[in-house]
Amino acid sequence: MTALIEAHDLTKRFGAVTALDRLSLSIPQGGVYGILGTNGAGKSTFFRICLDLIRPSEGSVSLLGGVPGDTARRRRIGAMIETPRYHPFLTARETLTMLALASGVRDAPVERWLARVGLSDAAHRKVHHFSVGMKQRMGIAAALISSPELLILDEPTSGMDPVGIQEMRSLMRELADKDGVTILLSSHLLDEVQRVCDRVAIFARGKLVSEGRIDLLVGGREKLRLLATAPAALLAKLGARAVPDGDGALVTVTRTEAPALLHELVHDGVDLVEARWVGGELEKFYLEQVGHAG
Amino acid sequence: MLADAVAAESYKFLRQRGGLFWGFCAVPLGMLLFNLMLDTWIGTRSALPVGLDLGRQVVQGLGLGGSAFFQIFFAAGAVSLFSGEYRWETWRLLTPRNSRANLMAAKFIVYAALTALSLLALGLGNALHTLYAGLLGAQVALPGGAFPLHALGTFLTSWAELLVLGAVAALLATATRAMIGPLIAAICFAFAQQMALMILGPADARLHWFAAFPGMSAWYVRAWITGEQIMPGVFAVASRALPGILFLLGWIALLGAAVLVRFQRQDLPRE
Repeated sequence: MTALIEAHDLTKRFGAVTALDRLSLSIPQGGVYGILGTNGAGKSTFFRICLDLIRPSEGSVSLLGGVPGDTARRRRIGAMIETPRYHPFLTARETLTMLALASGVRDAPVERWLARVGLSDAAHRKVHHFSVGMKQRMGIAAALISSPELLILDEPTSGMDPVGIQEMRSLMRELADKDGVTILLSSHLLDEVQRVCDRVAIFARGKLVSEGRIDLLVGGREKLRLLATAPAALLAKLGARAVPDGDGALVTVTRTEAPALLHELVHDGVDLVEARWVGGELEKFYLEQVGHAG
Repeated sequence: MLADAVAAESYKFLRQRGGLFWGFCAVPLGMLLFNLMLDTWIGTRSALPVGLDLGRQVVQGLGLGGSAFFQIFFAAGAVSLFSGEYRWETWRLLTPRNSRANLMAAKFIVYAALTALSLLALGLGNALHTLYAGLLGAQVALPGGAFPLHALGTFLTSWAELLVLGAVAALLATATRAMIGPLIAAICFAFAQQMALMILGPADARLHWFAAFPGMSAWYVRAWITGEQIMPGVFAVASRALPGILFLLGWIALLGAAVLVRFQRQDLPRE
């Protein structure tokens, strides 16, 4: 697995505050990688170091095989850090054109990216007057204007309406799956992260507390909750595999074993009303991890 | 990659109408309008001065870059250019796309180009108003043989003086990440030199160190180039003018390097 970003003992101090504390992390190429953490956990500081906006106090970070200070490598990255800011006197079209010029891209597909983030109708308007959601969309277009290999998005759906969030989720998966862009995503919307990310890293107080594939991190924790017309009969059939949970039963079973179990119960005459997976939410895992770290 | 940074910076700043107009267009435009109105007013009421020298008028226009009053506008343009990314927190958009050295150098290049154009417009404006005065009845003398040298020398000296002002504004903007403070400080810098020049005088042999100030150097070099008296009966001499040129170039290099070093090392957790 090729690593696009590798951090070794990365430490960043702002006066008495330690924003990153000996953080070591390897972010692989491909897919969508989530960075989670409470406010002040060090996510944005990590992104800013990757973009050479700030320099680490100690440790090192490797970006696309080189150092973040290498402009040629940085140009292969698109980024939207925190709330996007824009020049108040430029329109959306002018902003993208200017950023493309700064990246060395002449004849950038400005209209295509504006259309892809749903801002074609606002292309001639000054970005300064955009709503928060529109500025977020604009930030994504700005990050993508130079066709990057790695896209860093810090809270990209902040301030967006539900439709916009869904569109952004689709766009991110499309960019990762079809265009081969590796996406590094930070978000507090854990449900969104679980839906869109392949792997996550959880930061707490500047340290890495957990990292891995989401399905493996939360997979072993989920249980199948069954509800039947006769709960006692259901528990009797399941035996030691299940424990009572209100008027239902929580069953310890893997996803691959589940269809056979359900088939067996139906075959044995159990009238099932509901079957759903519980306890596999990233949110629960995240809160446990952050709680332990705190 | 410097060319990319210059292309982006010029594309951006040419759309920043406020900074562009007040920093670099207001002075030549205002001077031209003022002079034309003055010519018209005098021309319709009495005789205009006889014997206006077209070459001398152009050289005077090119030398206006040394005026502390006009430097207020150039300082505003410089601060607008160099402080903008801090004010709008937009370094985060630009620094991943090009090297910091290129981005800052691009700002210097755009500032240098605009001040050069502004100075040329001042010279051209003075030529236009002189010709207009000629139409109203003043006798206009055509430029003499020394005009090209005087015009070029005055232009380059004024330009260098404005580049020092721009470098001061850039250093203050980069160091403080602010806009109003650097503007006030840059204006004070221009006026302090002008006042010192008026109070102390350039010909005082005891104040050689004062010649190192960019305003003093530029004033002395301009007087040496055009051969004008700096005091009654006293002319500028090459032995003090040539070090003045070196002082001006030295200030530009020193302040420019300080800006680059400061910006290269600067953390941008918040612009």
